[in-house]
Amino acid sequence: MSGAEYLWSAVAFDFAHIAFYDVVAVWSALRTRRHASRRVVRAAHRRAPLVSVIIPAFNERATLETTVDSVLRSDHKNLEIIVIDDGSDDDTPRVARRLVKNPRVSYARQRRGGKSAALNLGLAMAHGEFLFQIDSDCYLHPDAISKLLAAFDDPKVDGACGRVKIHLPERNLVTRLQSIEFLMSFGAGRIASDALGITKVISGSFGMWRTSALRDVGSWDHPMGEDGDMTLKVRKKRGRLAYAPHAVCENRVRDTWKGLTKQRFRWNRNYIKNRLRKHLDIADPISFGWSNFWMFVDSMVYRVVLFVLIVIGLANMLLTAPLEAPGHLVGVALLYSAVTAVQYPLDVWLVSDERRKDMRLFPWLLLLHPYRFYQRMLQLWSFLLEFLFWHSYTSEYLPKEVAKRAVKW
Amino acid sequence: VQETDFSETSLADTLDAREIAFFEAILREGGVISPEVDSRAAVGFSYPKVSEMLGYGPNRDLDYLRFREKQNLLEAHFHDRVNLCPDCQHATVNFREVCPQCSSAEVSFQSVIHHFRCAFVGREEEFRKGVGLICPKCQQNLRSLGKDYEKPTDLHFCRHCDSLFSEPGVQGLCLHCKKRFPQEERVAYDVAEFRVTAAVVPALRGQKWIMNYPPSVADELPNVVSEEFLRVMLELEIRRAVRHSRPLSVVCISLPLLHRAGGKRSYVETTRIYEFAERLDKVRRNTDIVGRLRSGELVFVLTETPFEGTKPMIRRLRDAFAPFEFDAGAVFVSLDQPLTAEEVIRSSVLALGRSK
Repeated sequence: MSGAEYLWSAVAFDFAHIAFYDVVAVWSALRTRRHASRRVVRAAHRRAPLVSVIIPAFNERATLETTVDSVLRSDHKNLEIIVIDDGSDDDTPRVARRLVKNPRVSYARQRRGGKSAALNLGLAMAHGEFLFQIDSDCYLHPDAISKLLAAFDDPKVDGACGRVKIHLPERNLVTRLQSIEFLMSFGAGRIASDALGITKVISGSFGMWRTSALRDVGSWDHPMGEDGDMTLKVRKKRGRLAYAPHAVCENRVRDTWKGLTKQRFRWNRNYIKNRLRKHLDIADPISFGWSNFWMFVDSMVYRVVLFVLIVIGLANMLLTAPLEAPGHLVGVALLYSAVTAVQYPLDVWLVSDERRKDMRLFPWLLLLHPYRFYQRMLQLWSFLLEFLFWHSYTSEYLPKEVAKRAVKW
Repeated sequence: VQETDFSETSLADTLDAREIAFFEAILREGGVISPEVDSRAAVGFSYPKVSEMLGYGPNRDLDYLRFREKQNLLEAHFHDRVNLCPDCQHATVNFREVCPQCSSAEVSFQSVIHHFRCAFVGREEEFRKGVGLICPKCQQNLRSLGKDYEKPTDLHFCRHCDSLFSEPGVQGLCLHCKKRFPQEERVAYDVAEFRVTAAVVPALRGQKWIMNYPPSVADELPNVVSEEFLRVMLELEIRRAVRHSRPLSVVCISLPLLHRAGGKRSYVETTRIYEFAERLDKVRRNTDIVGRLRSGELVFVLTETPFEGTKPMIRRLRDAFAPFEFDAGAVFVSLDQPLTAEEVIRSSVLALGRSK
């Protein structure tokens, strides 16, 4: 096959993949909307189970109070909020001690041990039937917890996540592009994954678990990327995961290129560690079921195979027919732009709670593909580092003595 | 605490011989009746001097002192604070740390272990197997603190419901009535020490000391009214003088002794105040209204007295209070341009030092 054939077959496959997901998402959304209001009401009136909210915090003096306040304003009142200070060296302990004046808030401070250790301490202290984890730089919409709880009406569901959106997206170019990116990644694709039973991740910044399921799988592991790891561990125990797109949490994301680069670098490394090393066996349908197999295939095709095909295609084209390459690339870019111009409004329609505001970002879609290209390059670099050097074990978020002893995958 | 109503007894508004002896003894010791810890008393304190000299046991001694306080003979001051049971008002309350989930007192403080290898965090007891530590999650042996594991924090653990928590609740248990209650419901009770007021001067002479004014308007000095009541009385006197064209004068005196500072008085100060009160009682006319301002000055409202009449009054005061350092001033309330009580008091204070 020539380079152009590689490229166009990858693009065609990607479009088919997108189209299939869009159809499933629209079908699922229409079906869910019919039942949505009834489900929420049922969940809210059924009984109000105790939800343990775990907020791990490391040097979050500036944002912790807003996060806790937003949880306290939740319309689900049967909450215990457990703030775990992971050895902060700023004013976080003082802020946390002020917060514990509210009897629903408790606080424990531990020596720096990493996010997983903080979450595990929270799990040990939790009394709730459900455990809700939220990062201390997020804040919650008042109905988010009850909407997540509604997903647990199905007794087979062990974990659920909602939609994370960007707080104050109009700050600068970085936040605008991330806002578009987040809206699209929590849009049709995730709704369709949920409908197909192949939800790939319960976000660590905004996810709810059945506490018994977490204890069954033996709590979080080191190093970072604990959310993807926990998702796969629960999936391997045949736990069902759900997505509640209308449960919303706002995240104060990185608003500089440097901050964003470091964050995505971390996410990509964790992907390799979790999916291709630690939980590669999830692809065995005999042991872990067909839904896990399809989730694995879908994830691999989308994150790895398509990416590799495009890279091979481009390289081949540049080597064999360098003059044709620009034409093909422009063609692919235009086609992707056209698809995005349809996809974005569809995602807004499916999940947005502020459609008009989100549609104001539409002109910025022009920059989405250069942004995605930058993300892909970052992905390539971090994949390589993780493959070759187990780079995720050298994170600044994990103390050295812990990283040294943590199981290497 | 069931209060004894002393107003029903023979203890009315004069002191009997026993009480006079008691007050004289207290005055000799500095005028203060101090409480002492006593487990027999409901509030945990009793007044040994009262039981020793007057025969009132724990609880009744306090009732007696409160009764005399209401009659302005004693003044209560903070001594200590105790917690009482919200039900039976006894100080026999035991506070314990309890589990915030199940309220059990079976709570212990335990180290938490973080196993570096698998990130498991749990109580040390969960890891303990014989003499060693084995991780309940990954079954690995934990050998070296700091290398294999750490103890990142200590937490409370309830053995009754297996809860782990950072801040235990605090619950009170009354050992008298057995009531259990959350710490917030406890009744904070201030134990008082009592100081004898200057009203004891006429009282020790076997006279009544509180008849002229009810306690709400009376000052610590006998037959002296508070500033608020003085204003009311002066306002009425001004109106009466204007209506009937009668003379009205006001004399103000200022003594450093009466400028009350917060805190305890020394024994010398106390005895000087009693001496002053005694002299004041003798020098005043029974038609004069005497009030004390919050700033300490004494104001004499001299009804039916022209301005000239204030001079002999001031002279008498100088003679009577010769041992005390003081200033005096007088004003005459003009009938042509009548002032308010407030203005008259202010003018009299401004006149201090002008009348020699």
